Amino acid sequence: MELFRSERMSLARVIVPEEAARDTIERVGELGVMQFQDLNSDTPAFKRAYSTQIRRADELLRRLRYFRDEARRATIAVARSRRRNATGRGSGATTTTTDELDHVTEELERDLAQALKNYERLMRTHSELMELQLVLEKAGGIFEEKMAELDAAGSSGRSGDGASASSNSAAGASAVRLGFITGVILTNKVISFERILFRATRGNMFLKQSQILGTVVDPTTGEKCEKTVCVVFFAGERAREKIIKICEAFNVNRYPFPEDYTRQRQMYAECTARLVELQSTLDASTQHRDDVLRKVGDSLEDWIQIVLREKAIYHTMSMCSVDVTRKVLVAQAWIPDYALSSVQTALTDANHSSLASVGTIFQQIETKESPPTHFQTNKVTSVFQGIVDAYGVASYREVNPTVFTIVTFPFLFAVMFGDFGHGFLMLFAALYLVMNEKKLAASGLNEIIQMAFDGRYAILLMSIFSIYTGLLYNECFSVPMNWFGASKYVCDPNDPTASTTCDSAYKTGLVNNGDGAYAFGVDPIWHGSRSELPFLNSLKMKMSILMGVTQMMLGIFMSFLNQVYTNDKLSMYCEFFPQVIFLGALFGYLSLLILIKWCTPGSTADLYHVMIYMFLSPGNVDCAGEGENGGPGCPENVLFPGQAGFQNFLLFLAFVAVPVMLFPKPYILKKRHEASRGGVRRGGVRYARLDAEDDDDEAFLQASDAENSSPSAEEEEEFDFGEIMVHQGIHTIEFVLGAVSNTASYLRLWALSLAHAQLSAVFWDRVFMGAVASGNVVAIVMGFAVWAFATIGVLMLMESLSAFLHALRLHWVEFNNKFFKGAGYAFVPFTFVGLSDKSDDA
Amino acid sequence: MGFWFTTLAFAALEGVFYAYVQGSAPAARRSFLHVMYGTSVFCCWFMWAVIYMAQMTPLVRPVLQAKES
Repeated sequence: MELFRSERMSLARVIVPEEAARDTIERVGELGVMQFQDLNSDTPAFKRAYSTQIRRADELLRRLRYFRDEARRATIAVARSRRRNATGRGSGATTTTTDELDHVTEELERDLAQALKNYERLMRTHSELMELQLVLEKAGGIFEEKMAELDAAGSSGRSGDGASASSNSAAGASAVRLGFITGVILTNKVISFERILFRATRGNMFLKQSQILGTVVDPTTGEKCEKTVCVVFFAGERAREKIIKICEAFNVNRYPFPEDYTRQRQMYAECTARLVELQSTLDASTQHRDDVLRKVGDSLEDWIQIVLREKAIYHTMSMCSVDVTRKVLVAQAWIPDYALSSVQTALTDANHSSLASVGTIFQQIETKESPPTHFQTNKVTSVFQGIVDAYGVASYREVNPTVFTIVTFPFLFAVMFGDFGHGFLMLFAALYLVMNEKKLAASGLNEIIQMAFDGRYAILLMSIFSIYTGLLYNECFSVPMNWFGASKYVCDPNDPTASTTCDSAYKTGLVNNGDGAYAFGVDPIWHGSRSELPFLNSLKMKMSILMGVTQMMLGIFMSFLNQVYTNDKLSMYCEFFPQVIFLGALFGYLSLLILIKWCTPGSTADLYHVMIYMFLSPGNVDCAGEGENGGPGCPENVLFPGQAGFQNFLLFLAFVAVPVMLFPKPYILKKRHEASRGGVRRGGVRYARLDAEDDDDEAFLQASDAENSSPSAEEEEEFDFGEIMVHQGIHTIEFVLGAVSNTASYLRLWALSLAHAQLSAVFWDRVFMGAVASGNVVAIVMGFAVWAFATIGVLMLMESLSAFLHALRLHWVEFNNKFFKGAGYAFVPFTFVGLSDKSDDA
Repeated sequence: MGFWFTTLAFAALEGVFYAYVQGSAPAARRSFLHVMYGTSVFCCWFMWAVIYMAQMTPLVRPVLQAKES
């Protein structure tokens, strides 16, 4: 059966002539069904046969990445890779080989680097000129301002700052010659710049600044930023040196500024002319760069794919062992049996097309290594396989819990999440994800939505089961529905007010109309009644126990299937049967009692009491001698004749089952081991093949067997009775204690479903109905909004997540630990699907 | 609408699924799909049966909330 056990695997050895190796590996990669074993695991990567090719591929990748980064910087769209499907491309159709690529990209890289260098140089000059122009403008303005001030104040002027400066330029006759420096600085640095200057010159300076409107391109970094033109006035040569140093520290770009007004004008004009000139050069250079990048961009993604393929091929080839003398490559790989013939066809095809002189040899080899685990999943089953794999990858050919998990997981979720309305909301969400799966898969999703998207089929099944359990719980947003007829409860006919007000309904309660139980689900009358909780708690608690016992029994029977498959009679008699008996005798019996009690009219048996006193006073079901006059104290606990004897029998079985689980298996294993050893020793002659591990005789024969030595060395191990005994002890204790604690663990079904029902009832009754009762339109709208928000946020998101996690736990722990070893390793075939550059998202 | 009647209805549902899988699915997938549908129907029947049986001879009687008025 599909998925029930992992695919059969064969280990195959492929001997490929060297000239056909690359093509062969490529063909096989397109098939994607071979997991190559690393035959050179002790050789470091750089010493392997194909390390040069891998390094060349890395170099190519680096170049291509460089192109992509540049294209991104220049905002040129890189064409999406024309999707080739892995199989649709024969090796003959390879239009571009890596050799050509190497050549082309090398040239392109040189070209591009040149273009970029030119562009950068031009850009730098351009932005410097721009800044100079701005300095001329702004500083000119500052100076003019000061001149005007000076004129207004009169020429005599105090020894004030601006005045002395202008006198410096105008008259030049001052005793102390004032100097100035003009430059451009980042606006956010101006304040600290001024402070440092002030301190360095002991206040002997004056800073005049004027912010540039808009952003300017910085010549050194090429980034756009806000800048300020500043003019620093100072006195003396030493101060000048200091200030220049500070300017350098603050990345101030200094520019010459002629004092003479006419020179300023002249410079400005020159600057403008050069800028215009430069702009055209710059345009041409940009054009050239973009042309190069566009040329690359068209095929860049394809090239990257080709190189990645190439790298993967050589990486795989370097895992094969190279026989230099015979010029062949020896590869060893796991292949699922269903793919054997297609692999063989691919091998011969590749051999023919590469015109190799020798044929490719394909042989299956015997091994004792355990093969990898491989399940053929589809888009629905892969989600559940993922859930199981997260717990542990199944051992080879072990019974796969996924088969039942596909149904029981959504079902147990729904038991906790049961609500008709919430189920439908979830169904809509799941349907949206499923209907648009192609579109959504193509577009990138954020992490959380991606998680929901990956689990869309699980959510779909969960929602469908939730709708069903919602029907059974008879709740739609906690409102009861009466789709399956009116309530079966009527007013007590003995009540005198039965036909009018029916007072007894509020005191002793309604009675069944004698027409049996409500046909489908919980009777709607219970909702909102005072005895709702006692009734539902008792029902859900018992339901949890019944479901738990059923699922755990299923788990134990799954272990039986494993034992039948491996023909492990010992485990069957020493584990499976006592386990079934133990669980059946205790909790199977409890389940039986629950059913009997339900079917017995008016039974008030206390099942806890029955279970506890089954151990404390065996054979005494009805508390004999504890009642009045020495009669039975609890006669209602007797549910069927012969109960006492039956209970004693079960108790006996359970007590016998424990030592059967514990002792015989290790003992028999020991006997078996001794028998096999002893037989070999005593007989003296062995007709079986020699073990390479055999230490005392025929060492020379080991040479011929050397090839088999490594696998068989691993599986032969010393028999350690103590270890086996401890292991069996742990296993037994785990099962015995687990039988109790796991059954109790299933009560989470009750707790979670109770919490869900109560929360949704609170939101509906208190928030929404409370608002409706007020009659105010605004309040109703507000109430609805709060209710809707709480329903989505608390119930649909948080509650569903918690129910999901609890369902997960019930499967991982309570179900899986009954049979699932999960000690395998996954099958990871060599394939080209999903190859991607790791620095892609950088 | 007794217990056995609805149980029979569930059995009939399983019969429909069985026929559907036999008729539509490729032979290699059939046993898997039978298990899927069979388990689903069993789970649904199981929960229905539990809830039905719990209400057959109830000990607790529904006591209505006293009206505020």
